[in-house]
Amino acid sequence: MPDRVTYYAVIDERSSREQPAGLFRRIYTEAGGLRDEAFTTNLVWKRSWSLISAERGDLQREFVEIGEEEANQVMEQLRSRWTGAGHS
Amino acid sequence: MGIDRPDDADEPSKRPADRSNGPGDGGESADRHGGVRSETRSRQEYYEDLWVGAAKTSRTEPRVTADPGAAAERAANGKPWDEVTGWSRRVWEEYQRKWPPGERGSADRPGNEQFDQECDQIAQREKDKISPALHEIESRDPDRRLVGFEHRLKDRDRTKEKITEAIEQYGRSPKEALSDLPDAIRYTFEYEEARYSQGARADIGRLKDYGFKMVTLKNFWRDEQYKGINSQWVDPDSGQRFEVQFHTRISFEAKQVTHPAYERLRSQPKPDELETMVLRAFQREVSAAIPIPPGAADVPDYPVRGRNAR
Repeated sequence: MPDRVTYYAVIDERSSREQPAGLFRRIYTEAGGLRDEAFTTNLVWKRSWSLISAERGDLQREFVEIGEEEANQVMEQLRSRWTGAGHS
Repeated sequence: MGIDRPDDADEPSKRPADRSNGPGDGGESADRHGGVRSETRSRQEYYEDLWVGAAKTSRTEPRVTADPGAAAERAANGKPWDEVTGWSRRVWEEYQRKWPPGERGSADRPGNEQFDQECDQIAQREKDKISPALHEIESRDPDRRLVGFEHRLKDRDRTKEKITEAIEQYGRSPKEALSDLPDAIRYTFEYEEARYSQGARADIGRLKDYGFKMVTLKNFWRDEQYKGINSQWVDPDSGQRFEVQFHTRISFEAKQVTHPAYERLRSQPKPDELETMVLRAFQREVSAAIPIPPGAADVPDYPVRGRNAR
């Protein structure tokens, strides 16, 4: 069975469901493990414990599960925001 | 050798759907980290070995009998809570045999004078207003108390980690990141189970009456990894945020019991995929044994949590 990936839009009080603060993914590996990664401002995926903190009571951000298609859209949105693309 | 594999993250990804099935993934990973671990069992087999091993140990050890005069607090699964904590200690020892604690540090953190000044200001606001207010609120009900008060100020290294996270993952400025931090100051009320829901609701009302504004409240009693209610507040005069947690004795104790697992999940070098799964399973098993006080799960979130949200 291949890895299974779940995506999350990350929302804090400076962002919204339509304009999320970030993008996150949880990867359930074929071997039975688990790895969490955040899409960072360097435009790379990086290991992160943010979702584990949220599950443990951290209140700073909400993680909303989204589908792969929406994840692609959020990624493009973040890429534009962080690189300044699309802004004059 | 670090566990954070460069092939996981250093190449810009074109699509979020890029599967992370690079060389660091899956069953290979255990072999790659130091060359000493080679896990061939499936996840299920590994868990079973771990839990069964701990259970066998429990049968050969003399049981520590709880104070017969004390109320026999029972876990959600019907066992005395003391038995659960004994079990969790044995599982944790088993875990440490498998993944011995080595040289572990925390994530890279920025450090500068301005950050320290900001932290000093937070500490001053805590001392001048927020802690006195919480003590005054505590004095209004003798049947519950503030616990862990000595840990009310967040460790500065951990604060820096969270700021780094906000900058790297969410594009926040350092000032925004520090200003948004919900738990630089944290308090915990501990209640008897029978009075928990009523007591927590009353204290939420008292905090509001004092003039503090509730920003967020999340009820975790139905969640797997953690049990309790956590809330975030702001002092309108200074803009200082603080957190108030509402626990029973057992849910607070469970938080301490699972804290080493949580610390390990956040430490460097990062745990590999299997270790991550095992640490989460440990947190889940301990949390599952926490009795849910009557009415606790009905305390509403603020704002209401969206569908599929965590």
